[in-house]
Amino acid sequence: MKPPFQKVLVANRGEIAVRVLRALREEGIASVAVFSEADRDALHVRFADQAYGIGPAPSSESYLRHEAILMAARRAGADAVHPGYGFLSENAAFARACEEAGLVWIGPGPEAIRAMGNKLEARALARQAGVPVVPGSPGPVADAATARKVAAEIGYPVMLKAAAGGGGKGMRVVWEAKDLDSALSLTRGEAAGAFSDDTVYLEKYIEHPRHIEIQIMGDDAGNVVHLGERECSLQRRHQKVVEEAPSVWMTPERRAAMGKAAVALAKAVGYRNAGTVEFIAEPSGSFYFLEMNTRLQVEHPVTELVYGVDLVREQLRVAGGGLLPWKQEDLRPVGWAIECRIYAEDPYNRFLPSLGVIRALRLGSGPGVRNDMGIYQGYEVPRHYDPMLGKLIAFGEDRETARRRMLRALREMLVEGIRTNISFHRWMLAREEFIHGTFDTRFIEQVFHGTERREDPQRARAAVIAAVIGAYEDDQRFHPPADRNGGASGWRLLGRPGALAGKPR
Amino acid sequence: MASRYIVHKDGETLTVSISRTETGYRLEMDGETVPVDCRAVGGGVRSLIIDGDSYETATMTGREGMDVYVSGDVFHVRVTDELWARAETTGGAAGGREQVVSPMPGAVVRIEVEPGQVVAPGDTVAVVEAMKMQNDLAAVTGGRVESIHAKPGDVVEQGTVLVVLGPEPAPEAGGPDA
Repeated sequence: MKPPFQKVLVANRGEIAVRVLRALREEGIASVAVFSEADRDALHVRFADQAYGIGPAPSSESYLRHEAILMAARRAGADAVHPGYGFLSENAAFARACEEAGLVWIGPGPEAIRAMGNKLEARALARQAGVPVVPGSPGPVADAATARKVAAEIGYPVMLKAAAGGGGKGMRVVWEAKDLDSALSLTRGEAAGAFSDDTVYLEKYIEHPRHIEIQIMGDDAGNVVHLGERECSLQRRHQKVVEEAPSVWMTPERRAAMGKAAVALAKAVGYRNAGTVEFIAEPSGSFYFLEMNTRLQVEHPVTELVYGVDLVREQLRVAGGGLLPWKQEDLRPVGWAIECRIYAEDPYNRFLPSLGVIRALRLGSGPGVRNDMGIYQGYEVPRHYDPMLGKLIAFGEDRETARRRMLRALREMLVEGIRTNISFHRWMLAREEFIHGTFDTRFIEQVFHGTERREDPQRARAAVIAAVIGAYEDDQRFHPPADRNGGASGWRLLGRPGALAGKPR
Repeated sequence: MASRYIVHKDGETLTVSISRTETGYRLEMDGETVPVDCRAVGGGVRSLIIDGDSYETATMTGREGMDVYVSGDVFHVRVTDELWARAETTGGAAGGREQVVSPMPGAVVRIEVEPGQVVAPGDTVAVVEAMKMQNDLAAVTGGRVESIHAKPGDVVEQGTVLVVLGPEPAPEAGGPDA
């Protein structure tokens, strides 16, 4: 088959740029990377055939600058743009600008991006398409009296949400009627401050919710299929941490119903290319539309593994006008896949980002293990961007096999020089709740308080030994034996890094 | 010749002496002699064999001690040598003083204290933005704000001292219990 494009510009950075560049290489399509001044040393620059600087480190001056990216595409002679996720991937104006510049946008049409980017419009479209939505106000709540009336109808607890919000921002739970008025004015104030839009709506608050999302894919001929679900309930501050496919919550009947709903919504907006419909699901089996992400998701690899597909390759194919290679009845999940997002952050110190140079790096490998990473040994993690270093994904014929493989791969993974959440993942995947799949979206905040970790006494003893060896070797390096003749002289004390500054190791 | 270190881990204190051997080290800890076969394998990583058990370890020195990676798990340990331990107990360099430093490169958003203010352990002293996140930096031991070394907008490096906390003044002599 002739490649759909000659040359594709990847308008992103980090692991997702690397992921897309891999697909381009496999398809024999020339690639163009863009990079900010902070990313000159990044891996994606070296994985691409061509690379163009697009401005200073802050993303507002580089990865978010439409003209800079369009200029790079023009100079490189690209004929298409892949936006990855984040940055400009859900920016309808940029998608349109690409098309006007004669570049194919590898994603849905600008109109679908725009419609789904507005929460209220998306909800209304979902309702029209027969997709269940969380019971709530039909539109914005005009005033406190309306809010009280709607809340009384659907019953407490309820959730107030900023229409322009997202990613967990601009939301507030109200447990009792007496708190509604003050909560409404607080949420409005925050929404006005954060999003310059104080439109607020009201929904039923779901207890023990699971976050289940459906992958869909559409082509220009109007064919739309779904590729089952991803379970994304393990979150911290509304950021996903672990995802899996399929979900323990799922049954074939539920999958068919959710898949049908997702496809109906996609068809209602003339959707093409890859997209994800997010649902909130109750233990009872009820599910409600949350939002649609009009792009490739971070966690797309788990779907790729259980469906045996390459979503980025299919994105290229349908963007080039090709038809979907599957019929719905051909698509059946096989096995189980789990993904752990690896963040440069310290789980034992309030998840503060950890910056620095990766001095040593070894990735887990072996049977059933996939790494989607944007790092290498010697890489300095820049402070300007999201602290996600990449994803570790494990596949097995069933969930327990995938879980054990993941634990094994996490044990093999070594990132030295910065702190990461690898040990947090090891603790979480060994929890009973994870083993049995009995968790909801509040699991992490309920069970992790910043100190929990696996404590093996043998390893703890080895840690003491390793620490003493480390301290001893540092001392030998800074004070070779010849220098030590002075013993406890002031010179030695001065020479000890940190000794006078009052900083024990 | 053996060197002696004091190790603090999870509130416990342990004295360990260490000397080189042909294949690594010999440690004396908890009244036991522990031979350790040790190989540096690059990038700060060491392979340890302790009584037949194999461990992969790495150590990273940070602001409040040392992170020790052991075969996939991370432990937090503080190691001081005897000189340091003496300085600490006699009040020398430590003197009950706390430096609040930026744990990462970033930009100062706010300094939340004023000179002379008394800060309790856990109170936020400063806010530094890095990776698009605002990070609250809290006092560990607390004390009275002695000096402030940064202002909003400053770009700081990892380890830059932002605020120094001194000891709170001792209660006035001649009080009810004197």
